[in-house]
Amino acid sequence: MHDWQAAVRDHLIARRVDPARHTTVIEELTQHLDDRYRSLVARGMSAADAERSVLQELDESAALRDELARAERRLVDRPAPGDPGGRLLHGVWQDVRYAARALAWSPGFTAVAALTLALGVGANSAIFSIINAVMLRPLPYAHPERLIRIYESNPERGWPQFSASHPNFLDWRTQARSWVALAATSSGTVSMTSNDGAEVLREVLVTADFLPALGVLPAIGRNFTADEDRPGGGTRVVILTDGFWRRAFGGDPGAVGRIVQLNNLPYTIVGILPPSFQWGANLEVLLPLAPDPARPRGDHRLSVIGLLKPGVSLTDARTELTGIARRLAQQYPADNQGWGVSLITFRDWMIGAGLLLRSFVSLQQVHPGFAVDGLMTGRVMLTSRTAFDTPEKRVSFWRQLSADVRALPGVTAFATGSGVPLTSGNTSTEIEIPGETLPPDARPSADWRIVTPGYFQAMGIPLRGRDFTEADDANAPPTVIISEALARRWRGATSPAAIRSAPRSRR
Amino acid sequence: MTSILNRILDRELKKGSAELVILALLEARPRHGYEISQVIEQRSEGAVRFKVASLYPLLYRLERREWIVGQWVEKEGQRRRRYYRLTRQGRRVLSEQRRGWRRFVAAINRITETSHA
Repeated sequence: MHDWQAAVRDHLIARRVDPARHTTVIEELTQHLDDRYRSLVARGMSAADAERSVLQELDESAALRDELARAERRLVDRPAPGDPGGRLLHGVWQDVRYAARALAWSPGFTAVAALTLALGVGANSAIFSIINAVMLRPLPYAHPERLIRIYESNPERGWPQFSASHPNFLDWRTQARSWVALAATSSGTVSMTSNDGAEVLREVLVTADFLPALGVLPAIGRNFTADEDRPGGGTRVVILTDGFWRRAFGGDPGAVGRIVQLNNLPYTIVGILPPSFQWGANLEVLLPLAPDPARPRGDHRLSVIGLLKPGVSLTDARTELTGIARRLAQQYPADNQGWGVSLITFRDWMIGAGLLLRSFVSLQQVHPGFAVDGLMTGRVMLTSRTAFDTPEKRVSFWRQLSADVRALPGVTAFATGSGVPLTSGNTSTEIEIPGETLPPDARPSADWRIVTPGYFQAMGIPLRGRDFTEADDANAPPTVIISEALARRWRGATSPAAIRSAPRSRR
Repeated sequence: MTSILNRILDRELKKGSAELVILALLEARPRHGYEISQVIEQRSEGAVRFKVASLYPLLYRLERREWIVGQWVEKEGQRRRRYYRLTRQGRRVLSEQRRGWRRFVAAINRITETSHA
């Protein structure tokens, strides 16, 4: 078998190519030639003929060499150091004088240009102060330069940054050596009941090493212990944020040790966070995550952060974690095949968020696709362990709620759903179109939501075909309503009803 | 003489449509270089063949423009491969190029149709 690498190197690479690029290009081209050779031999060609045919592909090499040289010249060519400075400055000064004369010739243009510049400078200072407040101020964590956000990654399916599953996170923690701490979080809501009624609180579940990783200590009380952070441990403890503590407990230090009812279970307050603590928007309470190895490995729901050991580079940590991910993919191919990791510093991440500011402004102009006027949304959580323990009881509640709300004066439409548009946390499922058989990992996926009849009317979303009705219950054939975008993609589908959801895969 | 002209015409046609072909093939899913060349050869039934020397410069050029992005992906039991996929900008360019191509073909057809007086 021929040594393709040598052939590629000999034929193709121009001399001034950046060495790092050099290797990857050779690797890529070598693979291509090898694939070609194998396919020709598989078709019955003799090894010698196949080799000759493949080498012929390299004959039109001038084009490739020139192209690569052109590509690399941009990296390599830079103004040579040691330019005679005097000559450079003289040229610049000449240009300035010429420009000044040109501006004097057209005062109107000069005025407009000056005004534009002034507006630009003004806008820049305004934007700078926002960015300064949001991004450039030091992050309120100890060692922010060593804080890394870690994602699971499946580039083939178009998911470069995805949540991690409980078992994967725990395996990373056991096997990785580059970290002072590997912590996980998962956000959600919890219902707090008291004599004043029920209130939905924004919570984040965190592992016990989360606060230490950020270098944050509770201002009063303590952090969770390791024993409180494991399944079956003493997990009914809660830490309050400063804002929530002041609002709900009047800033009373005696709140530590008190019991609160969360999701109808008693939780002991063990700590209060300092006012400087920032995580997410309007966070109210922290609860133990208690990572559980028995959870499904394919259920990705955790956000992971890591604190690098001093002296360990991000590259080394990334290499180590990639190796661990690869081993896990071999051990658990059904769940982990195709899944790697992606690591990004907190700082780069913030920069990414800053770029989003620009998009945010333009997003204000986009029509959301549903009618916003007069639309109100709310969240209902059925937290009683006995009142809603069967599907029948739950259905009965929703029917009653629907009837009661519809009877309220001023209400023209009411519906419930598993989520509202423009909120995060969508779940996607693989879909299958009759007539299109694709291998399991190439199937398209779509975000889904469950809604009750009348949802589309309440949201002002136009429908073709029919809405769901009360008859589409658990005993009827399953039905689905799809978006216009999805219908357009599958032009072959004869009607909305022709598209089927694939059997729920484990991922 | 004619064969030289034909070859030149073929090359120019290929150049004009090459970017569109690559972008269109990446629309459905990410692919690696060899896979791209194979699909082109199969779908055109051998009429169009992208050799290594013309395919990769094109891929690298599209990558420089950030219409596609390449990523090394390692699958279980295989050596790693460089997969390319469309960027959002690439998708926009693809739909523009598609429209342009259709209009061009339609225009050429109109011009070259023999008309009976």
